[in-house]
Amino acid sequence: MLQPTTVPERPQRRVGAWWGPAVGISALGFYAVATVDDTAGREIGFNADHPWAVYVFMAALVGLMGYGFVRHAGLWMIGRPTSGLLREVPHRLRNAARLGLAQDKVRRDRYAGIMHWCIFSSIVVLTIVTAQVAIEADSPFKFLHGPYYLFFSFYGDLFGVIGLVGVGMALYRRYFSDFHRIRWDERLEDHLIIVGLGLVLLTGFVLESARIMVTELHQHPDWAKWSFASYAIARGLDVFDFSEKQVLWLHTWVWWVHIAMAFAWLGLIVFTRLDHLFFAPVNAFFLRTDSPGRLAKIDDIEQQEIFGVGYVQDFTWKQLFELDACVRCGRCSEVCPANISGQPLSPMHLIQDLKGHLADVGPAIQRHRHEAGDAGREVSSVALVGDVIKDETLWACRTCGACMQECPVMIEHVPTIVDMRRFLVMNEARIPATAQAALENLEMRGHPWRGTALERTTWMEGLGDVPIFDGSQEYLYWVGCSGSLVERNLPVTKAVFRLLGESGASFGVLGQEETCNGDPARRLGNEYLFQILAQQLIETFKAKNVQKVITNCPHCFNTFKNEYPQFDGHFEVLHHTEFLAGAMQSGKLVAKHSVNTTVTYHDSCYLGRLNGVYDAPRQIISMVHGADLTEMQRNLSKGLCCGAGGGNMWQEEVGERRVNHVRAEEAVRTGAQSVISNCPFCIQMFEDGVPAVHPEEEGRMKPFDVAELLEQAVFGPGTR
Amino acid sequence: MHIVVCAKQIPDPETPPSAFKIDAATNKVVPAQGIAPVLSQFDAIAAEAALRIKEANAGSKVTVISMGAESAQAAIKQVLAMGADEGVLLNDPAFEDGDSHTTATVLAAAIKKLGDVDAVFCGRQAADWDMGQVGLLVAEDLGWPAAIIAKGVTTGAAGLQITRVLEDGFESLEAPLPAVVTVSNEFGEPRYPKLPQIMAAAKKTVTNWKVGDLGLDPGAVGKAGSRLKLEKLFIPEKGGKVELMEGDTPQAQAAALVARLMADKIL
Amino acid sequence: MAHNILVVGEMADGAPTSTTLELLGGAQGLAAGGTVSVALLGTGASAAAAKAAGASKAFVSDDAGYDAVKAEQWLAALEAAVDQAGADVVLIAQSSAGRELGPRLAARRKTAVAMDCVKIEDAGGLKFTRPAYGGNAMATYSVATSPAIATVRAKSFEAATGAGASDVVQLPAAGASRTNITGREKAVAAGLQITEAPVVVSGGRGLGAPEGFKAMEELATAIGSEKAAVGASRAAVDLGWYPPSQQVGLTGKVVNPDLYIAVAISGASQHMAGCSGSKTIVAINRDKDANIFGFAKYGIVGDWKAVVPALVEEIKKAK
Repeated sequence: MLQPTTVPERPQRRVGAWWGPAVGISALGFYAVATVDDTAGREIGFNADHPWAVYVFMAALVGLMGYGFVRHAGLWMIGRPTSGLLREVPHRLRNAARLGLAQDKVRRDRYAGIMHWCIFSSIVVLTIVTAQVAIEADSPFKFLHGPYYLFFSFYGDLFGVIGLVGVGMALYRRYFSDFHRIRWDERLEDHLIIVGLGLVLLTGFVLESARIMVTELHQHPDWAKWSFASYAIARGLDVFDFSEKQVLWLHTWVWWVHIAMAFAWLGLIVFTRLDHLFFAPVNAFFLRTDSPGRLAKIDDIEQQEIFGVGYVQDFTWKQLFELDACVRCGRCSEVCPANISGQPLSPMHLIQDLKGHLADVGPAIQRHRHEAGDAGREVSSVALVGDVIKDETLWACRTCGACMQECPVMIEHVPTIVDMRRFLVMNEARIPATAQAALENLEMRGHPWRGTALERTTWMEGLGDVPIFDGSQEYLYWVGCSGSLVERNLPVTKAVFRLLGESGASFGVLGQEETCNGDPARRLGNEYLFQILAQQLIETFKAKNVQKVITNCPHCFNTFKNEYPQFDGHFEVLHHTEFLAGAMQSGKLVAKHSVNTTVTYHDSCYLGRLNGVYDAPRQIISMVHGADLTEMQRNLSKGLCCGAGGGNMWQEEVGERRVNHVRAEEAVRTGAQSVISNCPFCIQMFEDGVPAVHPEEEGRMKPFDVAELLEQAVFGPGTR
Repeated sequence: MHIVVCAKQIPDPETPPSAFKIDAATNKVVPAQGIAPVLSQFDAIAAEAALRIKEANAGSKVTVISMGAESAQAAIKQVLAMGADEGVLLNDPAFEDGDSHTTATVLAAAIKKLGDVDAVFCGRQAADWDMGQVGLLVAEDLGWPAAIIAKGVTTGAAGLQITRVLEDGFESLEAPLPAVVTVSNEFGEPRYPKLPQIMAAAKKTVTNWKVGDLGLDPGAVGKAGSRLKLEKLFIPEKGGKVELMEGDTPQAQAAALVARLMADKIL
Repeated sequence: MAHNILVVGEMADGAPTSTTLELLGGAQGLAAGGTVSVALLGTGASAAAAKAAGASKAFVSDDAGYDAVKAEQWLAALEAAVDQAGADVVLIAQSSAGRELGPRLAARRKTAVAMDCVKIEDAGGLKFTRPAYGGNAMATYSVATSPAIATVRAKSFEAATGAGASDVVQLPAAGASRTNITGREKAVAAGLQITEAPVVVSGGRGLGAPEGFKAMEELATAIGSEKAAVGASRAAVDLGWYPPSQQVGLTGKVVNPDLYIAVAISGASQHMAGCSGSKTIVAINRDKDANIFGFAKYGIVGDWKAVVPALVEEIKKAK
């Protein structure tokens, strides 16, 4: 009897680790309070002839920001209203804190995470430092003296240094490294922002050093040491033996330069991507709180005057707002399967093109609305869908969600892309021929597999009595169109069926009564067809008293689980890997036989990234004795799509490479004998992709479903 | 220009062979469970050809006519959703179980009743019986010229400009109006209906004409008027059991095959 | 029962086409004591009559007006031939011309035509059998009116041999046509036509890319370019991988070769309708459950990329 082994622990993210330094600094603060004499302090506004100038700059900045906000807001308001953004506020505030302030997503790139934290924390802390100076100077509150003054000096310097470290890392990446994504859309502002910040920080240090040279270096060296960096610079400059007058002259000039540059840099917020400083946390607040696998429902679809988004004003204002959050970091495009394969989609450029189009036509639309009072769709002769965003760009999207997963400012690309697809399909009927055939087939035959010679009951041959679901069983086993109508997927269906039986589960199937649940229609943009199919199937489920569903396919799983509730179809939905992993853990299924093979595991997007089921399939593999798992370089939430998602199963690919060839290459590179997945589309894509990248038949990797692997382990190899 | 498109609803030609069954007693195809009848693909292409002419000639109109069961409404709606203007269903028990000749008689009567028709477009054949003669029989009934198996049709000075598919190439010809054209799959894919049109089509009422509306003698149509009698409809025996070539390598399999073909004196 | 049968002939290179000779052969078998005559229209018809084996009588017109087949022009002459021959059965090839002549002649004579027949037999009256439902079914008909007209698929009968028609009757010159032919264009690749080739190698969507047809051509060349031609499934043609003139299937060419090699073709009924008359079908497919194996005599389950080159090698070795 083999003991089930446990899953190797995945490294957990420790959110708090980043704030460790904060604890350390606080401790130092306490130390200062406890040990240092309380006469320490300095003259505020030292040597500044016109300290009020700061307030002039400040007023200008506030005015500028107000202007910028009004200008942006006017453009956002072109969009349609959207509801629900103020639902689940605590969750949203947590998102704003976790994703906006703590920058969880930024840290998915380690280097960028450190760099960005350095810069971000430095700006925040130094802003607070400056604010304290202002309060001390121009309010009755006086607190910059004694131990706190020294501590203040210390952390002011510390975060100045931290900021410079961040700037240094940024400069290295931009100018001295072979790092591509940040240069895919490089603009002048990118240089201004980073070089400018570096100069503001440097002049700040020069300023502080000059003051120390005059007021502390010789008078209170024990105070000066707290400003450790400035103190070091002051000591360095002191060897030149400048006169006090010279130092004061230097201090005056540098003061002006520093103040002017600091405010100019802050002014960049209004005109450059620095505005993400505000927009990113707000967009994190706006981020959906439901599954990223769910697409929005078009309510009252029959009453719409336009279907989907064909004009920029058809987006919701939230979709327009998030265009402004984009910082052109290129992370989305770096992980986009279409972009990786040289196909005509780069999510970053798509967002930037939309943003550019909004800036181009937005003011005219605003004017038109003001004057004519209608939607103003005729304002621009440039078509959003077709001219600004090309048809093939929209069709190349796999809806895999990798872009959204990586986006550090929480832009939701996929719904935006699907909205435009909806327009293409429903309004314009512009669809690639093969996708059209799949949609027509869905309409006519209730499945997307045109020309299949199989029936929905073909897989049952040779399996004895297959129970038909009649409401008395606990689970409906949902086979799906691929599981019953595509030759390659039949063995998976049979395997799941046998394993469900072996586990003692009470289940039945629908057989001939199954029809497509609508997923391909929705991903391909035919929301109308999707709604018809979904409503029909929900009625069937309710009539048959279906409560719990086990699906073969992650796409069916996602649709039932995340999208049917939009139509009042609430069912408990499990992917077969979830059910089987549970059955193994409770001992109902036992992997008695050893399967000596090396495997790699491919996360399907609809099970993994979009629904967070990473562990169940891996648990099953780990409990199969003899199955030795090697992960691919891209795995878990960073896994690469097989290429079939978003209706691309039914499209001819356009571009340099096929996505499934790229992914198959990654799988083959692990050297494993089999690539294990959980999705009928993924398996088909590997069946096609592996021979393409590994032409020799000898020793070629074979694609399997998790259930096929488990079937061998439970029943013994070759028992079917 | 007023074009009539003749559309037929047929059992799904993509019914899997295992689900295709015939009732030997009635000589009819047993509708496969869960497989709905569909618009014959060639008729959808004929509709596409008619709609392209409509779009190129302002003031044109397309009427779709279907003879068949009540369910053929769906086929009519499909063509309406593609952009046809009106639909006529010819549904009467008297029309049932006829042959190509009686079908053509009914369709021609409906076209005469419409009155102002300039052209009739049909699919090259219905994808169920595959006879490919109703279009020509309608033309003969109406006394109009006809061109069959067109891969292109446009309007021109002479009436219609047609490119038809021959065994070994193509033929261009001109036909004066009114005329009948049967359209082949070489024409291209039928359009995907736009949703606004689908919704408009759903709201349109389909005219229903019975045998009396057409002034036809019930004895001249349907089974009673048929000249071609279906004696037997059956599923052909498939070729003998396949002999799969054994062998561990493609070379061994290929060698085994060549040996068989040499022994059979085919190679 | 005796039948007087009129075969509507077509000519190529001054002689009756092979299908015309097959129809005459079939007519001989079915006449059962009745007469077999042939109608030949167009330049060289009189001379071709002498080569129309199996016909005792020929109705001809050498008028060049008949050369381009316009059905309307032929109908008057054919009606006259039917009358003069006293024909109760008319056989026409299922060709571009036959597809149009059959229904029109039936309409003119107030009778019916059975299209695309593959078998005609006398079993208490003539029974016409033809495929229907995309080849999923066969339908047998009788014709209640006279003459019974049928269009017949190539290679459904053995060709007649022997002397041609001795009794030649002249028909009037061609009449007018309302349709006007303005151009013709050959669209078939040079070389052997797939409808005539004794061996057809066909590729389908499973080839994966247009380059796959290079391998099909290599296989055809290995078998012999004088007897093997390359065909394609509709899926492959629709993808633009091979010219439409080479499409085998319900809406493409119907081929009845001695050997049909189907490579990476699943065997949908639409395709099988175009090749199920082949004497021997060989299927090469990765999927052992593919429909094509139900029709094939020999099969190889495997990847065509490995099998086809091996087959080319073995054929070269065997020669």
